[in-house]
Amino acid sequence: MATEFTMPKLGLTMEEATILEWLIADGQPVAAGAVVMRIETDKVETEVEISAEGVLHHVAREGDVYPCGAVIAYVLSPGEDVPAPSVPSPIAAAPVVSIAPRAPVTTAPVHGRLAASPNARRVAFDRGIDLAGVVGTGPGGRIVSLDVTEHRIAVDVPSILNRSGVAATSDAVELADLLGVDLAGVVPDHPSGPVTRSAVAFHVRTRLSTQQVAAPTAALADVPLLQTPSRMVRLAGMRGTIAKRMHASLRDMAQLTLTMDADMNAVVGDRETRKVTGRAPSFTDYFVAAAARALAQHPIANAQVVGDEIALLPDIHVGLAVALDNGLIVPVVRHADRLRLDSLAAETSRLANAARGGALAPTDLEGATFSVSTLGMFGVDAFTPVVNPPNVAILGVGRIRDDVVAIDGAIGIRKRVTLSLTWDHRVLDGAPAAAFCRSIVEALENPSSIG
Amino acid sequence: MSDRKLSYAHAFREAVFQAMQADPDVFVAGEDIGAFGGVFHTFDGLQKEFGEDRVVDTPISEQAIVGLGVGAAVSGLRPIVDLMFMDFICVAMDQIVNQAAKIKYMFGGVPKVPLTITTTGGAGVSASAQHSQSLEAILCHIPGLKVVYPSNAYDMKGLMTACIREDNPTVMVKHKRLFGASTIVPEEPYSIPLGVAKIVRPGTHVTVIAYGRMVTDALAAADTLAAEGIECEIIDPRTLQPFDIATVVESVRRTNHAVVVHEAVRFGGLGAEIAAQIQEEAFDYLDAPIGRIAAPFSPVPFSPVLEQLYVPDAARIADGIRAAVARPGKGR
Repeated sequence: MATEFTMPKLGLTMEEATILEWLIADGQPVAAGAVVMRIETDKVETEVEISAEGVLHHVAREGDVYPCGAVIAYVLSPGEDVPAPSVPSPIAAAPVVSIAPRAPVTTAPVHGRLAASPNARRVAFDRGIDLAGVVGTGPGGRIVSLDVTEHRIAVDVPSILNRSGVAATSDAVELADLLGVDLAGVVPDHPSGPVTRSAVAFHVRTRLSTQQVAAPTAALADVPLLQTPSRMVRLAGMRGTIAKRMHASLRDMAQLTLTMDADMNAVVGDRETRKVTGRAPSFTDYFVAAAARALAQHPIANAQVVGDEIALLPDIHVGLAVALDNGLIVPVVRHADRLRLDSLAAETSRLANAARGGALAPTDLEGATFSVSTLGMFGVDAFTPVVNPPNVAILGVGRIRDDVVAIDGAIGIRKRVTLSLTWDHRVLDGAPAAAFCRSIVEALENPSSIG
Repeated sequence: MSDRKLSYAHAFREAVFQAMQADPDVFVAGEDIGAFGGVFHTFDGLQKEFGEDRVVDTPISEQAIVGLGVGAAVSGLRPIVDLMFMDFICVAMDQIVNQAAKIKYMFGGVPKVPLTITTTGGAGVSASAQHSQSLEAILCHIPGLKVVYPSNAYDMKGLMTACIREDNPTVMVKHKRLFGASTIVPEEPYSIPLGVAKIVRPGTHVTVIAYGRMVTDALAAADTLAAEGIECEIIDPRTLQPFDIATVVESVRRTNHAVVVHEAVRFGGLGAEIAAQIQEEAFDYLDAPIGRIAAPFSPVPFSPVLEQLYVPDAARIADGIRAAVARPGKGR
């Protein structure tokens, strides 16, 4: 039997959602647990899994809004047909049913005030519907929420003419002005009706979901824009993930950063020697290898917090932040402490190429227990990297520079680098963090120790 | 799982029996509970099993019965004291309100008062105005007391076990008209956490909060209304103090309608408190005023005919729910 796939209800207050994208095409097979679509509610954009197995048959369109519980697809067994009447009504494009005009006496204001239940007022506000146009069916003509959800804009609803010369409600004009939306481009809910607030909101949502761009959607709804933006960028996809993870990191951990200089003459010399015999590792490889060896000596830095406990992790996997055009990605060198420098270099160059080519496997991105982030190429010496949850520390690497230093009472010029270690003070204190960083410095000053 | 059925009265007795077996500090005291086994047979055979020292027949003095319980509880025992009718709590109010509920507070939180007061509430057996009252709102008004009111045999055993194990004073109210009602009751001891409501019937159109005997009548009303297309969600709070308002509010936010049902008189009843809390937490989700279905402001009549009119029944509950969800303007 065909299994119905309905718009899920993902929270108590969720009433509807927009289908942003079908991730599995119409007519394709699906396995139970597969992610089949992305939806956007008034709160979040999220992926939705399916629990049935078979062939997916779409009945709902991308870009349309559907109420929770509406059938939006079927999962069919081999050889099975789609059940008969299967086209759901998206909310924004509800077919207009002709209804007998109801006696407007039922909206007679009680004591000179429009009688509407608190819930009706809330629902009307959310949808940008003016209660004055809604006929109440509750006791005494009270407008209840069902009257609002069943309400359709009647053709003769008085509408306001605005600058664009488009018939629109005052709420719609207000929102369009706020967002800099041209009302002429907004499709009204009803072909002959005025543009409503919800139609403007729908128009903006649709446009945002088709552009590759990001600003916090919440800000759009809650915070007035300072200016008419030249462009809106969605906080979605990679940008959204970075935003969420970095914010959570700073919110949930007690982070602080120390800096320490390392003498790089030995590393520079080691590289020169290796260049003669073959491919030399990059400087970054030395930092990853040094950090991995230091993590082995300081297990507390290779840990994560679980509930009210610190879990010390036996395996050392070092993530390497790689900048991309529109974000960053952190491929992982697994068991970095066990790799000799040359094999570590081969692995990081494979990962970096795959990252820039978008060809990383999920396993290449999972399980980092520590990360290294380099900004030296931009001339940065010290900075405050943000810990990549659930790790407890991250190493920032600055530029390698010539420093004038005192050596045994004489003045000399040395290659030096500043390391910036950010750590979670909940897990380790300043002294052990400094000792850990010291071990990285010592490994760099003695590259034969990292093979 | 065993599908053994047990009556409300025997589920109560089994909870007490098992607690006494498990813990020598548990004992029972009350009027006619020993040799006679209690006027509703809720203590049948306990004295024979555990002896006169642990199943104590007391004189007719409620103040003394509760006082004995308070003293024993602070001395380290785990007493169960029985007041034959809920109406008699009025005689023991000083011990209940000023001693049992206050001692922990008065002595810096140090003493434990693991006292369980059991009693019998509700009308419907023509026991007249002094033996039929529903005075739970008075008890719920006293900080320091926990009050439970099971609606079925399964909840009875679990809640009574939880009351006996609780280190603060609890009042277990049994409904006289439910003693014979049976449900499946597991033989092994179990407890139901205090302060956790149960959705006994899920629904989408209206949230109905009912406890004690009113749960049965509300379920019957819900069956009638389902045939009319009204789907009731029925919540049995099970514990009246502390009250699980979160479960109720979560439901009301979904259904947008609420009706509270109780057998106690309407004025100052628990329905008033529940309605007030719902509007505090879910005002913007209400489509109608919160309905209250309760007894009229009058003593419980002795006349069986009048008593039947006095206590809310399934038909009255159904009417109250219809009024809460009504849309008389629909279809005009």
